[in-house]
Amino acid sequence: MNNRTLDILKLVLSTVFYLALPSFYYVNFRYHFVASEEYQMFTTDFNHLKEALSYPGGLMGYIGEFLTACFHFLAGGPLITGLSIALCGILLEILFSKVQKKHSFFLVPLLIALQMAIMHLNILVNISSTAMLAFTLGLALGYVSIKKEMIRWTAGILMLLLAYWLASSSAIILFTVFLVWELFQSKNPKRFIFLGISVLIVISFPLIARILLRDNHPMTLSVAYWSEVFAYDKVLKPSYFFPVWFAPATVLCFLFVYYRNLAKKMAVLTKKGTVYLLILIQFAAFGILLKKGLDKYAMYKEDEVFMKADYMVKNEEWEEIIRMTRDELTLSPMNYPYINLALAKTGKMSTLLMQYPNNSTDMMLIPFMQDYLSAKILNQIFYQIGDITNALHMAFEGGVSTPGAANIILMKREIECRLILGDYVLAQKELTRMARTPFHGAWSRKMLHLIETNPQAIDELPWVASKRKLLSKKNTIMNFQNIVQVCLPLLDANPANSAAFQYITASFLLESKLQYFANIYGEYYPNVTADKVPPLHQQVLAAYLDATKAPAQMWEMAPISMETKQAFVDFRNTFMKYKQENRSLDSDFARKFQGTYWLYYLNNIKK
Amino acid sequence: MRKIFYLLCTICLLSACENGKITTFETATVSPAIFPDYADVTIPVNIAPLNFKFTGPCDAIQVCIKGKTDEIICNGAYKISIPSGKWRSLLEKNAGSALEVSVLVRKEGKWTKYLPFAWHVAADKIDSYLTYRLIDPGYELWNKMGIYQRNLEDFDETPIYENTMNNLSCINCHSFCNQDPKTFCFHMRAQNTGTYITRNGKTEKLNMKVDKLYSASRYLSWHPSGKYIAFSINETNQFFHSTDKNRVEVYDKKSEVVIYDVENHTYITNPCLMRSDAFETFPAFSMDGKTLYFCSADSVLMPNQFAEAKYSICKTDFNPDNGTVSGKIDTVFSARRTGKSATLPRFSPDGKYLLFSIADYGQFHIWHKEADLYLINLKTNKLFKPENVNSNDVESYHSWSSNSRWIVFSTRRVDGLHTVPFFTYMDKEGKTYKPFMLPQKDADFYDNFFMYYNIPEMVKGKVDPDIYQMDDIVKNGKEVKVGIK
Repeated sequence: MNNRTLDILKLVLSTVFYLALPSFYYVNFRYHFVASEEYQMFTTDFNHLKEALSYPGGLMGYIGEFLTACFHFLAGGPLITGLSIALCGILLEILFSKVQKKHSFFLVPLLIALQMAIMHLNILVNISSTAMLAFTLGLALGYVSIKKEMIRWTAGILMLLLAYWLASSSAIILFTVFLVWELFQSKNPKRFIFLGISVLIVISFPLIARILLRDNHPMTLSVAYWSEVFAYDKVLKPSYFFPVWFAPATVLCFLFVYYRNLAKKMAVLTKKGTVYLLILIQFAAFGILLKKGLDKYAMYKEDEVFMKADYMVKNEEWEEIIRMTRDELTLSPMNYPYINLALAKTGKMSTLLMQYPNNSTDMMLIPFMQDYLSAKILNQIFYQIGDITNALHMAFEGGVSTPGAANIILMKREIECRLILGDYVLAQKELTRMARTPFHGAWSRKMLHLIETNPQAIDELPWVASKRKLLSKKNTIMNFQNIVQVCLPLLDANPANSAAFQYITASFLLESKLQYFANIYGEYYPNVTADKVPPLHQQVLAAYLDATKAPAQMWEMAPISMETKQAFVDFRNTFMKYKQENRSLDSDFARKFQGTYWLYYLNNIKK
Repeated sequence: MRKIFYLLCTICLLSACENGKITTFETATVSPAIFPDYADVTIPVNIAPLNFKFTGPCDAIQVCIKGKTDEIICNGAYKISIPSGKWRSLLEKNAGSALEVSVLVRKEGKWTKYLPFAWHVAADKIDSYLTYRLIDPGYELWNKMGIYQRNLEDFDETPIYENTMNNLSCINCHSFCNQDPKTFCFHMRAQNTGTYITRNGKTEKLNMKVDKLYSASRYLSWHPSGKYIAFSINETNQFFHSTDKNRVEVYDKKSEVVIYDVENHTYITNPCLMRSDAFETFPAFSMDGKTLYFCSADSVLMPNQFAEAKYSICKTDFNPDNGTVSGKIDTVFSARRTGKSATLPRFSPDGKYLLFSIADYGQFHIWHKEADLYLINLKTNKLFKPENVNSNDVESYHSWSSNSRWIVFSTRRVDGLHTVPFFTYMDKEGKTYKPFMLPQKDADFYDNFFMYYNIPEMVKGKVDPDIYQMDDIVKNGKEVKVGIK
């Protein structure tokens, strides 16, 4: 196989990969990218840029932040990420061809691009890492293009310092290119002086940071240590850096040496045999990476289901959530709080609750685990059921626990909560900041304008007016982890709050608190008729009447349809028959009464 | 070449004219709307420039700051940045008198001059540094935080320690002995947990948790000698109101006060400070070191009876020779009599005044919008509310300058949420003057700043050791286990 054949094969594979990548991301992971929008608070003011320029890696972080802001659009993330990876791949390709003109590195750039593509399946991996690589490769290309050695070395020193300050640890890649180029392309003995200076600069990176940051604002003092040089903030962890940057850099050196010297020195294989062997190794590496990618795909696909549900919740597409989770082959447990929220908002909790594997109230108001994820989910639940105070509380906690403590979505939610609660002074401060963001700026400026010129108009905004109606009026000390303590005051304030009613009744029936369940109906719907009560609730009431051995008169008055009564009689009779025959409740029994509250209740009280 | 030279001269001349004082204007009969509100404040002679902005619509502003013999003119689009050198000189020449500040605003081509206001320059200096913790707003979680020192004479802010160097641990409760930057203490939680005490150029890492005490040490007060620290031991919780404007209530289920012997690494306990029927907290040594003050409330069932937890300020004699207390308790401020709750007693260094916070109940008053600062004249025992200081929102966490002339306190008066430090001047007669906000280089700073300033404490100089030395101690320092007597 000659170079030309390899080149054509490489071109075809690369083109297919780079063109397919954005589509692959869009089809399979677009919600993951949209969710990434939360992890930033990019503002267009000069101070933000100034701050970014004041510490190593800040500028690339700034660019990454802007690009992440563009993930606001569903296609934004797949397109930007795919194209960024393609850019890095192409730059690598050009660099390799300059480094070694005679031999093709074949799949190596594609291997690196594939690894990056897999890496980006993890929501915590920021696009700034790709921006860093692209920037550094650009500098490296510039370096190798300079023919005159003194100019090249001088430029190299400046590039190294620039790369460190603007792109942080990616400067190591630039240094690797210097090493490879000077060792194998240059013959001038003075190149070792340049390399020596470069090594000193690299070792001095922490010292440079320490000197330059000492009396500056202390945003990233952590880069002043060698161990932290590889992580400019907690989002980019060393575990990502090492395999991504050092491994391919090492491979690059190895292959370069290998191609150049092996044919001459090794007698084991012919030159052609060597080439075939290396091609085989690269295909094997590609296959291994692909397999790794497929393993990660399965893992991240489950997260994608949750992020899709999260996106639907943000856009209040309740029916879509219910429909979506039924069609998904695997149900991520993380989705259950959102499924329950969708059921409550559509009034379907009282009919469909038993059809989902809901066996505890933990999946309704999930425990606050003092982490970002639970804060985010709880924020949505509280906001939607009308507990704006706790929604604000969780927006706070979620914002603080977001990596980098900057979360544009939760900041917007804080503002919404403040406007609903009438706290315009604070809302104004936060809106002023939001007004400088690229894709939430218009909404923010509109709200600011209303606060400044016509605050009464805010009262009339539909989303404000509807939420204000749900606000609790009586102060209580609440355990916000207790669904009843949260929902009862809301129901007291507004008995028409159907979501709160759905949650409370679901909580009571799941915990088999039949008395409380009956009391809720008695308090809020004392005169309701059977046609207005969902069948599941009728079943609960029937179970309650039976458990309390209520007289016939109570059965007559209760909002239970004849159909439900007959079904209950059938259940009771079947159960009694099993009991009389001393039979344990088998799969026939379960199958017959599947989906009924009575079966659930029976299993629950047994526990 | 000559043409270029003449052109440059013309441009310079024109610029000079543009920087000249505006003489044609209309006069408004109202005061200008500026932020921060620096109108008629009293400032120390060594404070950094009070940069501010005009908050109404405008195309340009000019501010003239006039002293006895000279003045500074500043121009800007809507905010000013006063040159530091000229400012310092102006203050020094006008110490003890007032500067007249005139604000002129241009809108639609017309200049309007607002009613001038004064900056009263007190001859008394303020301590050169202010230390504080910066933390993101949150109730239970935190992210990046640190303890910082800010030079009050310019705008330089540097970290004393920052948790980004220690895996985002919680750093809290920094405290200095007599405003001495070389003698201080702070706690760290989560990673490299411990209490860090710096004295005599040496920092110790201490494990303050002992079996007999149910928690590690919390709030503290240095004995003026530096040989003792009074700590509170607290079992602290918080709950959330559903609709009350005081969103959060931080309360103690139990609390005690203990004395820590710094040199012998030992706690000294006394039953009168550890009563089971009382919550003792927030200790404070008197400036002569012979009395220990503390807050005490009858123990009630918490959190249900949260509104009944009302703290008095009590005192007991302290023996500096052996670190013991007499056990005889006197009440300085009675919660029972007043129906209010007092916390955070802080003595003026000259020993004349006791400054503390009063709210309707509780001891963590930063979450109480009704919390205000009060003073007791220790000579006359008269309780009074300092004039001009309090607002409609919370004032809490307060401390003194070393010369007893300046008080710094945390307040949420600006937006109701973010705590910012304000300074007020107290003259020799005990009169207080309108406070001013911590000045910043950029007048827009507070619009874009979303962190809380916690525990503002003034210190006489720059804190030592530096952050890298401190980090080395945090990560590699040998831990000293504290004992108990």
